[in-house]
Amino acid sequence: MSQKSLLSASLLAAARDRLDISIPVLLVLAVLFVLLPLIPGEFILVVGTEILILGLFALSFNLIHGFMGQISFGHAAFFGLGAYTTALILQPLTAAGGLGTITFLLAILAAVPVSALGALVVGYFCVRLTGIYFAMLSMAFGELIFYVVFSWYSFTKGDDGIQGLMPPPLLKSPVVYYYFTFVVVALAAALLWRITRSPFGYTLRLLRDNPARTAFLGIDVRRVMLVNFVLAGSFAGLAGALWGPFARSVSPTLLGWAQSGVPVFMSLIGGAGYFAGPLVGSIVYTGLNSYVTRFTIYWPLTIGLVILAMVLFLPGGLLSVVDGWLKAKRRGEP
Amino acid sequence: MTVTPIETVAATDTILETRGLTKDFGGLRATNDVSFTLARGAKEAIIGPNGAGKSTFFALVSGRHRPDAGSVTFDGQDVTGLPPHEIARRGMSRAFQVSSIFNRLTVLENVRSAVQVRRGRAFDFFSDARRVALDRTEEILALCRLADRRHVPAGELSQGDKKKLELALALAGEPRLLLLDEPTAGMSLEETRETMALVDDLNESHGLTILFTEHDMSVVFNHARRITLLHRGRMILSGSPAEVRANDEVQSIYLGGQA
Repeated sequence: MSQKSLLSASLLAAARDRLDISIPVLLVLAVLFVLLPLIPGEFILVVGTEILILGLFALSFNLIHGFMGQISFGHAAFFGLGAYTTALILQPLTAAGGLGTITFLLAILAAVPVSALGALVVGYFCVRLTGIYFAMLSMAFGELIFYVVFSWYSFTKGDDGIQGLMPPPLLKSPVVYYYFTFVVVALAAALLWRITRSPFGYTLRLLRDNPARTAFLGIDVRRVMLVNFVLAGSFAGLAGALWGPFARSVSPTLLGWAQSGVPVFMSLIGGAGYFAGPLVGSIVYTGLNSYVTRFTIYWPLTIGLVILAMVLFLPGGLLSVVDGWLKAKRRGEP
Repeated sequence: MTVTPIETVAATDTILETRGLTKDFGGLRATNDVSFTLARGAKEAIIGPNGAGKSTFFALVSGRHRPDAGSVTFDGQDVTGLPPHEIARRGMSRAFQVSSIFNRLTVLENVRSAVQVRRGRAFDFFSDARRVALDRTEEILALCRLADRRHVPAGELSQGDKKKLELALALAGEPRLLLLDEPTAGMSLEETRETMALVDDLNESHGLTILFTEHDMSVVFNHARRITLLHRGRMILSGSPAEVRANDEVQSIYLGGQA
């Protein structure tokens, strides 16, 4: 290889280092989300809100998957814990008719420490394992928490779920709740972005690429994994908190293994290797779900085919297409 | 490595000492009653035929494996049975025989992250990683002749460059003792010369204690000031290159097969 081509290759890589594909993608998405309510009708707002909430859920999952290299099949437990925390606080207040905006915001925030605590307990055991064992143990704990919520009727109303939830009067209209969700998710995503680009974010990447070597650099691998597990659980809890007032109810299925599969699918569709991947995945998954289920009862079949196509033809996710396209374009320039 | 930590532990002339170190794998005694002493500032090699127990010895010293019997003392502290990260933090770095790097990160990100870990920034959630500990990172990249490869993903490096990165990661730990497991394996002659020149320089100018294993006997005899021979897990002898070269036992069990 000549000296010249070596140089241009390293310059190219330098450019790639500076321009993370997630930056333009996030900017475009932010503009689209802001403009979304221009489309008439309430349905689009419902879909948009759901995309944002589940998108944050999937972004939190990807801290564990894309950045730390593990798969959790029990992440919905923390989404559900957050949802129930907020719901249990809001339900009596809403019923009494005196729900203020500040109280509402505090009820949303209260979900974070509860989910964090849940993730601390579950994570304490899960981080002792990696790979399929980590995945299976996280699933087992997820199901355990699901059954506690499902069975503890006096506290959680079991299978009936908690009904009659409502945002406060100020945030009640769908368009306002949509923008409220947008702001919360955008702030959380900005925080996640910052974390993934920090020295801690790179410590996670060390673990992902080579956990054994990481220990020899002086890293307590389990401790880093646990801290990250708690972080991911906290953000999942925040996403869950937004769910109840949006859906007007919460039920145990929010904690189940099917719900835990949602962020897995979303990361797969958008691309777990990209920060923005899970958010893109949520647009596709939630968007499809919202429209397909209007025309057919075969939603599992539809999403199954989508996943199959992704795994076979686009294992890097949708963003890998955009990434490859941008790289090819840059290479073509003088 | 101009690190001179102020410690209450009385500085001794011995940086590493093992006593009766023993490790069994099933029925095989991979390390058998090895009592080895390494002086501060030394540059020594451990040699022995395949399966002699060189890698197991390194694994026991660096915390990868727990010994079945015996003790490891590093810089005056008993580190027997401590996990690898605890031993690394005390100032012992290790480079692996088969390069063990972070494939999806660039060379720069590999070294920078390792330096950040050493500087206690592993739990820094909010700084921009691209701007932390760059001075030291660039120093190490230049030292290991990886500066022009800094933006290449580590997984795409040549074998020789991977070994250089392996050494760079070990240096990022700002160690007092560097364990190098076949540092020049897979390198070209030119790369071998460069790498061993760096090893010499780290030892002579920076005062770093170095213990290495190596298959290439010319590297061993040209660079080690003392050589220890392991055979079937046992320490057979230890001496200057001249002594080892002249020893009959060495000739018969080790060099004899090759000469």
